[in-house]
Amino acid sequence: MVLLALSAVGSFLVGGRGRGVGLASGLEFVALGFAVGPFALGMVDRAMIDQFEPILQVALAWFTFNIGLDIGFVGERRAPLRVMVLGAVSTLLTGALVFAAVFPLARLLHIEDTKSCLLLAGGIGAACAETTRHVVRWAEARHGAKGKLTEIISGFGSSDDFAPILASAVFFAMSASVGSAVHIPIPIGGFIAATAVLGLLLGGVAILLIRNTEGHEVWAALIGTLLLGSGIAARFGLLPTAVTFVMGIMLGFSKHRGALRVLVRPTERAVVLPTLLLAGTRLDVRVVTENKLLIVLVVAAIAARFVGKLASGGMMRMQSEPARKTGKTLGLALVSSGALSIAVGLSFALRMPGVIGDTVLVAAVACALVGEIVGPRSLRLALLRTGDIEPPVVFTPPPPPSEENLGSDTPDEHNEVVQ
Amino acid sequence: MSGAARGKKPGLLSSAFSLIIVFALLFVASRVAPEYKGDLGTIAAVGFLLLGGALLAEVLEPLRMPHLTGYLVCGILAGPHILHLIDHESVQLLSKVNSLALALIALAGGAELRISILKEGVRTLGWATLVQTVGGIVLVGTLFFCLKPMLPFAKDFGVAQMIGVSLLWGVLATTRSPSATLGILSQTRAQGPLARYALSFVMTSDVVVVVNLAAAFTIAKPLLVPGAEFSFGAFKELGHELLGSVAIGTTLGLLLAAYVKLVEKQLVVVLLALGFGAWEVLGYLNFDPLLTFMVAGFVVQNLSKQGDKFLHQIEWTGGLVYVVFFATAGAHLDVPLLRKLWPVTLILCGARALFSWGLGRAASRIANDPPTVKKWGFAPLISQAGLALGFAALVEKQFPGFGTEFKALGIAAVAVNEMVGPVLFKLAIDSAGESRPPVPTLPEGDHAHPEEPPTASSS
Repeated sequence: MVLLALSAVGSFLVGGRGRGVGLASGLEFVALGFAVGPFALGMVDRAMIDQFEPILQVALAWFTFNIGLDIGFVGERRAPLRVMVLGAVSTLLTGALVFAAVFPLARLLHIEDTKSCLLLAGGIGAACAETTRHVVRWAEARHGAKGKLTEIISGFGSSDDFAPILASAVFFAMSASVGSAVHIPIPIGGFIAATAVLGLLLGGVAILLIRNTEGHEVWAALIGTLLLGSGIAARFGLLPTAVTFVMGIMLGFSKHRGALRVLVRPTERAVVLPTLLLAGTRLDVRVVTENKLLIVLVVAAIAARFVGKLASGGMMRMQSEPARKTGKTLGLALVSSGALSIAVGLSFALRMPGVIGDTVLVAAVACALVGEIVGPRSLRLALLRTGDIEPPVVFTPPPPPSEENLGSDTPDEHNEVVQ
Repeated sequence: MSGAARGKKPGLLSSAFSLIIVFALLFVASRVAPEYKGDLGTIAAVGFLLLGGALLAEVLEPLRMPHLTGYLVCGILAGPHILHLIDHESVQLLSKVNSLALALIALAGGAELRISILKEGVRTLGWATLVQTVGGIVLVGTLFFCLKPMLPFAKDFGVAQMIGVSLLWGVLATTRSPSATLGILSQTRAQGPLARYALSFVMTSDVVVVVNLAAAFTIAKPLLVPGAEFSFGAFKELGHELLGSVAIGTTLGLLLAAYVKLVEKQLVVVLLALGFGAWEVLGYLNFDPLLTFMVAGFVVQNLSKQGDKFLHQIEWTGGLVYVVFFATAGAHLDVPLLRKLWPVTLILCGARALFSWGLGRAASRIANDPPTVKKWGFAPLISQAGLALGFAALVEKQFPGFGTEFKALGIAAVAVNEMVGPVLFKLAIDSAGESRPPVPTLPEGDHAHPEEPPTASSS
C-alpha cells in the first residue's frame, strides 16, 4: 500500500507526462523507488517488495502486451516498412554491439561459467538496445514537434521493441532449459517455439473472444488471456512478457486494434509508472559497488550503445531526406531508453536474482540515465534543424516611436526568430 | 462474448473452441510441470477462471442458464476435486478476492437502493421480510428437528439441544445471497417490480439476518452448551456492531461522494483499496463490513448526485471480480462432502425452496403485490453464498462439539442452493419479461475509435 500510495503521489507530483512534463524515460519513478527502497532510505524492505513480485510480473506482461499491440504503428497508422526495418536492424545492431562489448569483459571478470557470461551479456544487450518511443511523444507534447523526421523517429521507436523482447525470450529459454519445473527434456529451440505458440494461441483465443463482446467481458477476455499466458509461461519456464508481446502483435493485426487501443491505452500509465517505481526499489547498486570491475562492464555497454545508435543515425540519414539535415550526430537523438529497457532489466532481476539479474537492471537504468541526459536534448536539436519544432520566439521591445515609423508598425515585425 | 445471446452460431462455436483450448492449455501445463509452486501459478488460475468462467457461461447461455452458473461450474470442474487444474493452495489464495467482491456487491447493492423505490415498495418489503423470516425459521427449523434420525451429529441430542440446533439451522436458512442476486440482475439488466423487490429484499435481509444471528446464538447457547447462561451480552455487541457500521458507512459514503465529485479519476484504485484494505480493517474492529459498504453505497446514491456515476464504475469493476469470485466459489465446493450428505441436503434444500415459495405467496397476498412478485417473488430467495458459509463457520467456532458437522451440512446445502438459486432467479426474471438485451461495447472494425487520447506514459 505504501508503494502504491507513493506511486499515486508521484504520478500527481511529477507525472503530468501527458503535458510533456516529467522525463521521457520515466527515471524519476525509478529514482523515487530507489530512494524509498531497501538500498537507500529503507522505508520499504525487501520482503515487502518481494510480495509485489506477482503483481510486477503481471504489470510487465501487460506493458509488453501494449507494446505488441502498438508495434510498427504510429498512432493509428502503420509505420512505413523501411522505417520498421530500420528500427529492427538498429536494435539488433545495438544489442549485438553491446553484447560483443560485454561478453569478453564478463569472461575476464571470471563470472561463473560461459552460460552465465552469455546470460549477462545477452541480458545487458537486450536491455540496452531500444530507443524509447516515449522520447518522441515527449518532444511532441513538450515542444509541439510535428513533421517528417518526427514521424520517422516515431515509427523507428515503435518498431524497435521486437529485438529486445525476442532476445530476452531466447536468453530466458537458455535459463529455462535447466532447473525448470518441466519434467520433459526440451531443447532451447523448443522453449522459444513454445513461447511463440503460446502467444499465438492465446492471441487467437483473445481475438475469438472479443468479437461481439459486451461490457466487462472484453476486459475479462484480455485480462484472462494475459494472466493465463503469463502463468503458463512461468510454469514452463518461459518469458511471460514475450508470450504477451506475441499476443499483442497478433491482436494488433486484428480489426479490433483501434477499439482495443482506446480501451487499454489509459491503463498504460497506471501500469508503467508503478512498475518503474518497483524497479527502483529492486535496484541493487551494491552489485557494482562491491565489484568495481562491473562498473567497467556497464560503461562498456553504454559506450557500445552509443556506437550502435550513432550507426543507426547514420543509416537513418542514408535513408531519409529530412534526416540528412540533422547532421552526423542524429544517432545521439536515438540514445534515449526507458520503460522497455527497465522492464527487460527487471525481468532478468526477477528471474535471475544475483549478479546477473542485478547487473542487467543496473545497466538498463544506467543506459536510461545517460540516454536521458543526451537523448531528448539531441532530439530537440535535430527536430529544430528540420523545422519539426518551431524555433522559440523572443519578443524584442519595439524602438521608441518616431515620426517615420509611427503607424506602420505591427507587433510581429519585432519578433525575432532565434536560430 | 455475447454472440450466443444474439443467436449467432459462430459465436457459440468459437466460444466452445476457445473453451477447449483454455482447458487444454492449463491441463497440459498442470501435467507437464506439476510441481510448479510459484505465485504465477495462482495468476494463471485467475486467468483461467476469468476466461473459462466467461466462456462456459456463454456456452451454457442457449440453455438459458445464468452466467453465474457457468462461472461456478467452471470452478468446480477445474477445482481440486475434479480435474485438479487448480490446486487447494491457489484456491485458498484466490479467496482473498472474496472481500473485494463482497465489498463491491455491498456498495452496488446499497447504491441500487433508491429511497423513492424503497418508499414505493415498503409494504411489500415489510410483509415479505416478516413472513419469510419468522415463517422460514419456524418451518425449516421444525423440519430440521424432525430430520434428527438422518443427522449423525444429532443422534445423542435431547429435545432442548435439538431445539437449539434447529433454531440455528432455521436462521441459516433465512440467509440469502446478495452476490447472486446482483450477478443475475447485472447480467439480465432487469428492470421491473420483480427486480426491485429482489434487490431491496435481499439487501435488507442481510441486516435482518445479522440481528437474527445474534438472537439465535443468545437463545441457542444455553440450550446447547451445558452450564451456559442466557445473556443479552450478544445484543450489546450487536448494537455496537450495527450502529458503528451505519456510522462508518455514512461517513465513507459521504467521502466517496466527495471523491467522485471532486476527483472522479482512479475510482477503481479506491474501490480496490476499500475491498482489500478497509474490508479487513472493519472486520478486525468487529464492525460488519457488508453493512458498512451497503450504507456507504446507499448514501452515495441517495444523499448526493454522484450515484449513477458511482454505480457505473462499480458495475464495471465488479463485472470482472464476480467471475473470479463465483468461479473460486465453485472451485471451493467440497464435492466429496456433497456426495456424502446429499440425501439430507436435498430434503433440506427442497423444503426450504418450497417454504420460501409458500411464504412468498402468503406475504404477497397480504401486501397485495404485483402479479410478477406474487408468482416469482420466492425465486431470488433461494440462492445462498458467503453469508451462509460465514454463519456456518461461526457455528463451528461457537459449538465445537457438533459445529464441524453442522458446518459441513451447511456447506453442502449452500452448494445446492448456489447451483439451483441463480438458475431459478434468471428463469423468473426472463419469464417476468424484465430482462433487457445486452449492449455491445466493442464495435467491429478500425472505425471504432479513430482517435487516441493522449496518455501519460506516452509523454
